[in-house]
Amino acid sequence: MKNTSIISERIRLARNLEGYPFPARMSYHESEEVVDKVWGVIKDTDIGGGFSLTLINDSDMNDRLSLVETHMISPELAANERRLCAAAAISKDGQISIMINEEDHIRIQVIRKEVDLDNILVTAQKVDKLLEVLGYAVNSEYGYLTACPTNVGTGMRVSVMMHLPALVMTKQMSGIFESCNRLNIEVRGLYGEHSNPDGNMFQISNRVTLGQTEEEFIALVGRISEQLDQRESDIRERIYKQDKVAFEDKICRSYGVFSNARIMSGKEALNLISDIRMGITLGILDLPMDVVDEIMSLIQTATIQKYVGREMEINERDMVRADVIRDKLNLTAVKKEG
Amino acid sequence: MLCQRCGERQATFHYQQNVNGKKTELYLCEQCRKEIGMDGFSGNSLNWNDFFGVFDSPLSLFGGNGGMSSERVGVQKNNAYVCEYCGMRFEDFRNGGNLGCGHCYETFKERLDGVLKRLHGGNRHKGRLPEISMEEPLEKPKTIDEEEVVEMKENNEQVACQETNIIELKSKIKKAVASEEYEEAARLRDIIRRIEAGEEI
Repeated sequence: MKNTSIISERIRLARNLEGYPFPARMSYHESEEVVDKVWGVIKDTDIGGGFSLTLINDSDMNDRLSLVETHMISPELAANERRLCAAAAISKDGQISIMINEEDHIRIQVIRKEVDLDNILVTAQKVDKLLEVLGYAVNSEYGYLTACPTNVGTGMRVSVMMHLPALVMTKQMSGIFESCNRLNIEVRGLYGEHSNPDGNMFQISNRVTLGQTEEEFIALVGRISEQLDQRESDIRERIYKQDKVAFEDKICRSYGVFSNARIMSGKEALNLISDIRMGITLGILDLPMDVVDEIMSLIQTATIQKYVGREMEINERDMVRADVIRDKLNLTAVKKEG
Repeated sequence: MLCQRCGERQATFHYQQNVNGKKTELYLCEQCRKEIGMDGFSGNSLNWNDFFGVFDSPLSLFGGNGGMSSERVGVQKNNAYVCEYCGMRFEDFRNGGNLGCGHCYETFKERLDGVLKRLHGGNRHKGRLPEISMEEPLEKPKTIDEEEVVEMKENNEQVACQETNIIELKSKIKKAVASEEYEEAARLRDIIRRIEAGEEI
């Protein structure tokens, strides 16, 4: 499939252990037992190159927020408001994370850049089958039992992260929100405002988890994301053809600022990245998409602080962000003025 | 207090935790809270009342003060209002909480069926289930009279024997998990899979 706008795809499985109340009603001691049991099963596997365990209570807040920014854990786990023993087992290849004692005892998540939900499910199910020996809370009528009934059944949320600047530009997103809503598909802005998020990044996911098979939910989300991708691609080409020079000018100016600026806020960076991504897919810019993806992940507030190893004031952070971007684009040879 | 994430705007949200004497605090502004998806996090944002029909409202079931109306609740099967395993009250769930444990699904089954139907469009699971389940099914097993058991045993001794093996194996898996022998548990699970697939062991 030709892919214009899909940034990454993700599948999450929510699971709970029989014999323990859900995390909201758990004691600290019980939560420690669940972490021990899950880690006992996971620690020796070689799936994903093996796992390492991060205990949330032992990590400082910036490290936790960085894991949120890189989509490894949820904000809920980072906050750990229930004050339990909570943890995240993250695979060495950075594609699998197992959150322990978030809203449910276990949340298995597999995230990849490839457009291949079926294979992502295979990996998630491998981990699922390993953990299954611990005895899941299941019921033949309701499937996998979860703390929130919105996740019961398959316990599966399928998400596709998409970059949809042309649909935003042509003001089509509100119509898309409505049609997706009718199909039980949720569309949300990945950064900032819901309707017009920074960087035009959206997440498409299934709202419903019960009453259909895993494969059916995957097919639905896959089909919708493919349709959106096709539409986005068609409109991009149409806009580009309407006035080639003006469009190229806009993209190249964005790249010029991105690769030369000395001060760069997070919001400005995301909006420039949006133009650059579009420029790459239309063949206007010759730049590896991987580098852009890496920069996009790295320059987020908590992640950039983790990268340089210290917390920074906003002004310093904006300067460091600009440095990191130039560094990653291999433009460090350009000397700083003064 | 400035937001700890952006260091720029005033923080409007405050999270705090104290584990074993170690205190962690997090101050976030509205925008950063949204950006990292923390909005709708504190205090369950779902209002379950939206998913209950008029006839299943607190007024019709529990009386105006939210207390129990013994007549209605006492006679209805699966309509208990407290889960005996975790102490969760149905009312807590309706007021925006989550369920307390796996058994709540059975305890509150009758009312949950409607909620799940409205949430998901369907209320029966069609996806996969674990290849082995540690627990007996939540529904009560069908009662079989003794004659049928004898007949079944005679006619299908092999199957009955395999079932006994599976029960024994499951109990061994439980013990293995309890003593953290996960490799042994996985080995036993694979044997069950093979028995269930009709392979000779």
